[in-house]
Amino acid sequence: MNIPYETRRRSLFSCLYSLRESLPGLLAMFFIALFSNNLAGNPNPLTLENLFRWLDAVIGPINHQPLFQILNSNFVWNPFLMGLVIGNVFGVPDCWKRGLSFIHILMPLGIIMLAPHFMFSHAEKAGLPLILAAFAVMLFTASLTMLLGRLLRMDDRHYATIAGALSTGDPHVVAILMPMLKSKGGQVINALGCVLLFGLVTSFLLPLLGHALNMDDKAFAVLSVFGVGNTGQTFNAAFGYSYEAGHWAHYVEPVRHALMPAGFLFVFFVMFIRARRYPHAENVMATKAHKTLPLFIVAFIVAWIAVQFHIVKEPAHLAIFELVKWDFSLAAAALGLSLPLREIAQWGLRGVVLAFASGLARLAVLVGCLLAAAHFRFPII
Amino acid sequence: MRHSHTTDEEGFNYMDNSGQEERDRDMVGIFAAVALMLLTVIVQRAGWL
Repeated sequence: MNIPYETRRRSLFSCLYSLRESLPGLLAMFFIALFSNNLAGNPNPLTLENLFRWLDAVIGPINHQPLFQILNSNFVWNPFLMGLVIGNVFGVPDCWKRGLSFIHILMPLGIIMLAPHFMFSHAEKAGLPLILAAFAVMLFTASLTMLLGRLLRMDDRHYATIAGALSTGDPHVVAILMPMLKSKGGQVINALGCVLLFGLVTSFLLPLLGHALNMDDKAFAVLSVFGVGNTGQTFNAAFGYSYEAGHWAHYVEPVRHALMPAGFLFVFFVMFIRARRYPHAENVMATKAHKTLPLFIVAFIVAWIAVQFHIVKEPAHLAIFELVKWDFSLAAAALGLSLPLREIAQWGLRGVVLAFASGLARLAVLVGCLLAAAHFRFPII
Repeated sequence: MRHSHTTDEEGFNYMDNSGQEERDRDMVGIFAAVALMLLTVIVQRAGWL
């Protein structure tokens, strides 16, 4: 019989369990990470990352981008995929489960250590009009997605996760939002798939629209970054339009990236306030389990503000980001192991409908604004 | 219902995270994050990186 945690608790560190209990699960995560990503200090050349790079070299670039970048392969995606395959083919031994529970320590740890990655000064050179436009697009997309999600009668954890990923333009925000919103693993991966699919389709089709409207290279670069998001897919769209647009997309991209925390924090606080206002509503699930504002979110916000004063300089920032890669690789392995495929499928196709409806509305508004800016000769960049 | 991927024979579910256990996990995560970031910054400022 499982002994309740409170009974076996001796100190704060009781959540680490004994080494004998946690070692098998920790080793499982460790070896999945080791064979997934080229992590700092990992001498193993037989990684999934290298396999994808080799396949990219065989296939050749598409619009100057490696295919697996367009498909969003990265340090979260790779170990998650490997964990998912292992979990679904071989199952998960019971002796791994205490160690795999470290995912709940790794998540807040990774989120806080991401703070130095989001430097506002990286966006400064693009100028205030573009920063304000990016901020407005982000809040508009997040609000619209949450509204449409409610209209589609979706689970609020699911639509809020999609809102966060779509508005920030980074599908991996689903992993950041998981402990914040208390989303289910299946919802998180379903949301990731929905946002990735939207980005994939639009990144190939958007250049056709741009050419039909005879858009300026700079305007199309802005449209790609704010309308498609997700670095690899943004560049696929922009370079698919013209080399100049791709070049300008590299210039605009840091703006979206620097503002990302504002996007996922906005979604979190909207859902958090909603859960406090309607504590007894049956359809309010997101953040409901948080009795108070989680401390790791406070710690992230404090760290995020502090790093804006250039406390963490290069190469310390790079060293911390290598630790983040290790952290999320381990956590993604545990998440992948936890999910039978049916749990991802059970959340259905409403997420796809939501991502496309909201994403296309964002593109329509952006196209209108960019054409108006061109008409009135307003300098975007 | 027992979740075969996440719940062991004793009923421990590794994707479950609530109560005192969640608070402890959060605190350990926060301590580790702050310690690692401080260590990296100090090592850099001291010129060891």
